Amino acid sequence: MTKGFARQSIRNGRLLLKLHVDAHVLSMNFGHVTFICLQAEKGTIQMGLRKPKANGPGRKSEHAQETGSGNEGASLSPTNERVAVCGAVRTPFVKSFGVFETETPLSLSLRVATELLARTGVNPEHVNEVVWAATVPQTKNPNIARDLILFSGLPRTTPGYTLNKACAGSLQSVTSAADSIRLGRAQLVLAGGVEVLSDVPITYSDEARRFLTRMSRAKSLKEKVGFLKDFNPKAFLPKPPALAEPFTGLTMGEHGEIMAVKNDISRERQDEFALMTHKRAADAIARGDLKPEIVPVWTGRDKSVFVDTDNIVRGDTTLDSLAKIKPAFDKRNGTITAGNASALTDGASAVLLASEGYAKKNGLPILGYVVDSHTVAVDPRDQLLIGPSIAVPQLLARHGLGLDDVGVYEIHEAFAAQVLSCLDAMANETFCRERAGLDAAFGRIPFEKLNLDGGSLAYGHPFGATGGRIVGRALRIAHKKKSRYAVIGICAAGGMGQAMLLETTGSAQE
Amino acid sequence: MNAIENIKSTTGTLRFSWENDVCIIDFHDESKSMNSFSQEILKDLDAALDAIFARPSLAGVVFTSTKPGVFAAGVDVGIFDTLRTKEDGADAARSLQRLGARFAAAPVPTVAAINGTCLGGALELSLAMQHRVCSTHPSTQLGLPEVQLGILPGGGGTQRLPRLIGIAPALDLILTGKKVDARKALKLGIVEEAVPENQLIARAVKIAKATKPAAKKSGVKMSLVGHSMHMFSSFEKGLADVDITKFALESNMIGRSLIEKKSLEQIEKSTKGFYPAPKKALEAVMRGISKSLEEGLEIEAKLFGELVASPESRALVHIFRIMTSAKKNPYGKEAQGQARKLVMEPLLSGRSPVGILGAGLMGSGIATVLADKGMRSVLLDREPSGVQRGLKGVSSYFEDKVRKRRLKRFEALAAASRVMPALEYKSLRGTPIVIEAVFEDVKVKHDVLRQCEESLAGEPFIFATNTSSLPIADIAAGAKAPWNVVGMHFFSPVPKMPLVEIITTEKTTDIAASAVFELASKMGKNIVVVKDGPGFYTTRILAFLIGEAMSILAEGASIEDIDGALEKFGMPVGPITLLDEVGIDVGNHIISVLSKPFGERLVIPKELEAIVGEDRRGRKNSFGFYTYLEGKKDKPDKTIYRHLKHGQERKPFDRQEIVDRCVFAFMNEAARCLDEGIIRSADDGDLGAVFGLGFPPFLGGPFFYGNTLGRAHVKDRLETLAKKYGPRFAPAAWWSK
Repeated sequence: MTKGFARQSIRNGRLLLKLHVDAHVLSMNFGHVTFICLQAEKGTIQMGLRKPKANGPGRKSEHAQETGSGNEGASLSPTNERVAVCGAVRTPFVKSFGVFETETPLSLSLRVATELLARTGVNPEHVNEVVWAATVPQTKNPNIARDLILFSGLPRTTPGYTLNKACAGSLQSVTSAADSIRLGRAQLVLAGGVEVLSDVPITYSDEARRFLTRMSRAKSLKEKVGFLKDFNPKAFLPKPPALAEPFTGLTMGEHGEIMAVKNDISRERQDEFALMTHKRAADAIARGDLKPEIVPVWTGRDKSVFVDTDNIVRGDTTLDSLAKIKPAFDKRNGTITAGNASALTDGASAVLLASEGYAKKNGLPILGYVVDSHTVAVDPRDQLLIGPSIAVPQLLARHGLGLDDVGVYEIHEAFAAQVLSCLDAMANETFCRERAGLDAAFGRIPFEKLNLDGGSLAYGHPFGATGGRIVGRALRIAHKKKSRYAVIGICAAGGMGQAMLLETTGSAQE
Repeated sequence: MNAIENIKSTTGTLRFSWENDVCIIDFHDESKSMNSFSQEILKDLDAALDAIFARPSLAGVVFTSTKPGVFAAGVDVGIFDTLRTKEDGADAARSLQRLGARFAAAPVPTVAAINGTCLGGALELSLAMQHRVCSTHPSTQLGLPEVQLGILPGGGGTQRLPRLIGIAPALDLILTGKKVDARKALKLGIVEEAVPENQLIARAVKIAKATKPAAKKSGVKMSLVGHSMHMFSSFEKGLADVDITKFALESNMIGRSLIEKKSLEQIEKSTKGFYPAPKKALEAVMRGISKSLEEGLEIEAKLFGELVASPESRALVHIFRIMTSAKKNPYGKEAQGQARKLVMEPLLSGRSPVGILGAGLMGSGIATVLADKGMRSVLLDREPSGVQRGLKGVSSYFEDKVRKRRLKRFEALAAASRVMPALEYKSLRGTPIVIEAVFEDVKVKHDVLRQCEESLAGEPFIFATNTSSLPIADIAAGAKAPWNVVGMHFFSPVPKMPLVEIITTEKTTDIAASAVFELASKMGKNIVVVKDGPGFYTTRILAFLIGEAMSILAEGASIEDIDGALEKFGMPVGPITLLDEVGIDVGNHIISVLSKPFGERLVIPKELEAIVGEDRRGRKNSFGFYTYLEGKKDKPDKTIYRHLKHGQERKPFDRQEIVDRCVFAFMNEAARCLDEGIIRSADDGDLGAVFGLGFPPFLGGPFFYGNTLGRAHVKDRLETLAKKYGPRFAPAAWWSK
């Protein structure tokens, strides 16, 4: 599928690694998530892997503090207080290997986090915790949540952790933040997520790793020379990222194809859906509805590139042009194309959550409330991305709500085929009985309630950041539509599906 | 450690204790924040040595300080007052040398155990000891900053350091006054070991016990032969350890003269001949190294004496003193406490950012310095492209530091990340202080102030306005909280210029003024607090200098003659070059502001209007009094002369006359500012002129220089100038005092 080859050279003590990409569609899998790189131009990705160097004595920190986190007045017993969403922002979502190529997961995370705190005017010392999501393993900043606090210059007394739940990552960081608040452990938590595929770590083979670690632990020169006989230069070619979901050996796209076949989702239905989502997104942008959520980014070498809009949305696309795109995975008989699949995307999102009491006492804006969340998992070998069609009905059932009680549905769009599969499944009585344990079919979510401002097919899908984007969007749409409830469903690698129930304030926002 | 009874410190600054027969001398002056050697303390130490050396069981002496972060900052500058003549100076040097010699020739091993700042005389005394060990604590910094005070290390430093570490590295420290940390000190060989601070004393005692006193070893004198021997012995250790260049350069006459020549060139370049100290220090090193230590020390003492009595040293010591005293916050305890709580603590903890309005060169520079000092800022501009220029300025400053290896890459990243870009005022929420650096127009200033008030509704904030000439009271007029409006005049480029002028109005509260004072000092700036008035202090006196230069130009002098004359006088750049740098449009704007109140005295030739009318703005549009080639200043632009009398035929002007007219106009206006109470003291006037305007430090500032010349003399000269050129030179009252 990819006609890529890698080459490496050592220059000025830096290991330069060149990865030549000459496929129009490059599909890669990092451990458990498949990326689809749409229309990657023939080009070179250059990455510098700096060799570890002995560090000098560290500089003295300017004003290290050893006080506890500013947990003023936090009650420490479980509360039944509602969890308020006090703000939700994100960077523009842009095609990977594009304008954000000089950004890192840390830099984009910092940008949204500091901006959100500044806009809400919250006292950063009151932030009890930062919960962040990132999907591609980070070698430079494995715990972005903590590092973003340290690098931003915010009070160094706020702890943080970073989680990985693939595409549902930041939906989970919002969930975990809400849980802490509901349990009374925290009153103010910053949640979010990020993905910068332009900055993915490239690794060596296991053989090379074993060789290097043995060499570094060798006690004598003689021992080192002894190891040399095992030296295999081939092992030192950088390892192209694995191409499959670890457990099934299939790419995400191939799983999408399986779902399209099993649910008989035609190419036309997929393209029509893709067209709708792009149009809706383009309209929302034109109306200026996205303004409150977008944090502009100055990027590039001299910070000379100003990015304040998403760049994947195609409002001018047509069914004809979508129909012309060749299938990306099953080249002969497939129906999934670059046009009806989400693109490889860079971006970050942040959501500020607080106990209702704290938010009101401190005059924070309230967008709405996190009511509950629910995650399910299915056998990945069957329909990898069908999870939301189980999670959403089950979550609503838990709260005694039916399809018609909710005015706003946000189903994450990895592939048009996957969204349509989920919609069909929820309308299917057998599926709902057997798989979701319902008494009857949940029903068909009408397009008038679904992804009203478009979805990930149009905006793109930075894995760790999508959940945060959707939380903000769902609440803003629900507010506009004067709908009390909004529900989110996100499918994730490993056969998982997560749903979240949100409630609006019924009064003014922001 | 057991305290002992029979050795007393008459000054109470020395404490003695014993460990395994090793006497530990702890220098700890509790009356001051820094340890420094006064005459009395030196005598005290001298007498204590008699008692210590008299102990029969004595095994060694360790000299250290338990004062946190400080070993000793050298000899107290108070000593300078007692040194009136060359002979006084040479004697003072000899007495410090003699004390060093006692440690050097002690009957038992002597060890300096250095933790914290160790500068000047303190390092010289340490160099005289037989061994040195220091802590790896970040506060441990070693250096010989004497040249910065216009003198040279007179306590043996110019002799012992090159003998210890080699000529070239020693000159690098002595001629620049730079400080080195523990790692570098160990690498250079200044200390034998660098250990964690909790192990320092134990290690020093161990060294004292394990070694024999120097006097009993052969080859004490590290002269030429000794040094070569050292090099040869390192050959045995293996080639890798030998510094070939050092060997080639320093162990023979040709190599040494090469070093001397290179150093002289360097000195000429950096001092332009205005500062004699580095040259004399070089002389002390180069002449001393080929002689015995004793002869070398005598050369050093004599040269030290010459420098101490020099006017340059007196001026530099004066500046050092006024700098030190200007660091004190002049406001009441109560106001200081409030300012700290409301402004500085939130900024230093990272809770709140400083708001900066306008991301131009000024705004960007302010953000850069704040980030460098660990503070967050929100850099706001109307235009994305404005923010972009600001962010670029910030990141290129830190990138440059990474390139020069002053910062690690992650440190630069963290620093640059402390600057948050913004386009909307709502991003300023939670900031206790906003510094505006927008266009110099009262309307624009009023507009941004109003927008801040709207966006920060209900949150009190200080509005620090960075203006060079607009009266603060005018800017504060219409403010909801005029008592929170303070002038905070930075100088461009902010990271380089070491002064901030703080301007208070009658309404400004002490809390607001104190907060701005604390912030400026955290930014590492020298501060003068001045009263509100047209042009405040620095802008006003500079306008008079530039105005006079313009008059001379209009009378027929050439651009290069005027700039050349003032550069020869010691100004870093001539007044016309300065006008190009600041921007002719900006200069003209300032003059238009100042001509109203000072119109009678501030005479600006009308020809300037024609020059401004051609849209000449100076460096920023490469079109000014000078021509610019690819952004670099080239030659005077002769086409400008067509607007002036005599056209291309410029007339020769007497250099001294040019200098006198410009400098006396400048000094006279400074004196008027003091007469009017714009500045609080002559010292503040000196500080502002030297650090804000580049008045020659070796002259000590306009007031110090006036006193050096004699006020009566200045008055006479002004009266003569007034007769010749007009009443604008009428002497200020201060000259008659």
